[in-house]
Amino acid sequence: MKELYSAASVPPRPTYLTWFGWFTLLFLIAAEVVGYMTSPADAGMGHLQKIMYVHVPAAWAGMLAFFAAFILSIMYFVRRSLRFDLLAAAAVEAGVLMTGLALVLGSIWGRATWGVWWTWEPRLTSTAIMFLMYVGYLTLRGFTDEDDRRARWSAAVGVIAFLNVPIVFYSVRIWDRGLHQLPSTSESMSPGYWNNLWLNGVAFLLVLGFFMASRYHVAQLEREVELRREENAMRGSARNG
Amino acid sequence: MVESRWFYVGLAYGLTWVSLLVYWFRMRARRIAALRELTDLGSKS
Repeated sequence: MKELYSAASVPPRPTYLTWFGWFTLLFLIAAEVVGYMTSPADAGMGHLQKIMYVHVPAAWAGMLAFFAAFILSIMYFVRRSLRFDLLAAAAVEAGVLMTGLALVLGSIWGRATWGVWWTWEPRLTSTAIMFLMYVGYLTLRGFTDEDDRRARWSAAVGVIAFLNVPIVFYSVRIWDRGLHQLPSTSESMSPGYWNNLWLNGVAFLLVLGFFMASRYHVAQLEREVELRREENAMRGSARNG
Repeated sequence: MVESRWFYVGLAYGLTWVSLLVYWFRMRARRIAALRELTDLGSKS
């Protein structure tokens, strides 16, 4: 596995990341401005509806990140390459950020429309459990310094924790006693709202992709630091010995 | 009521940008720290 991260060269920052970052930033600003300016006030909740353009895309991006982590965890078990472990960890970290954001934004929206910051209804509760499971994934990674063991444990949790994602997705359909509305689709809203939601959804997916790629690059660098530390320590002990 | 609705919209958008920027700057700081350490380790070896 070490051949992937040979100490001979520092992984260079891919040039596409710079362009990708700027494109993502401009796309996100444009999508939010278009959504904010062109979306008419909703008959019931007025301009509070605009929170949908950040809350729903953040939730979509979070679930997609966890799906990516699920696939990458399986890939790790198949190939046994640390590359997939680092990519899965990058996906989970970005997914935790997005899901945390979706929870907080949903809480703000809930306070403004339902009158409460939080309620133990199925969608909110299952999302909070999903969030905590993936926080557990990231915490678990700090429990061992041994690469293969960390990768094995993480991949197992990456597969098991994903079982909760479909429950979150279908929670509003399975349990119909919650406060949360049904999934946002082109049938459930007028085209003006749907097009803006779709546009902001793409913007958040770009942000997710950029964060995952950047985090993977940082993980490669940190792995390189670990390897060089080990090499220096071995050289030092060989000189002393 | 209208003012309070805009307050919640502003809070949501503001928190979104703060969260994304904080995460990005944190990642950038980790990248710079790793590069510095690699330089130090390279000069010591």
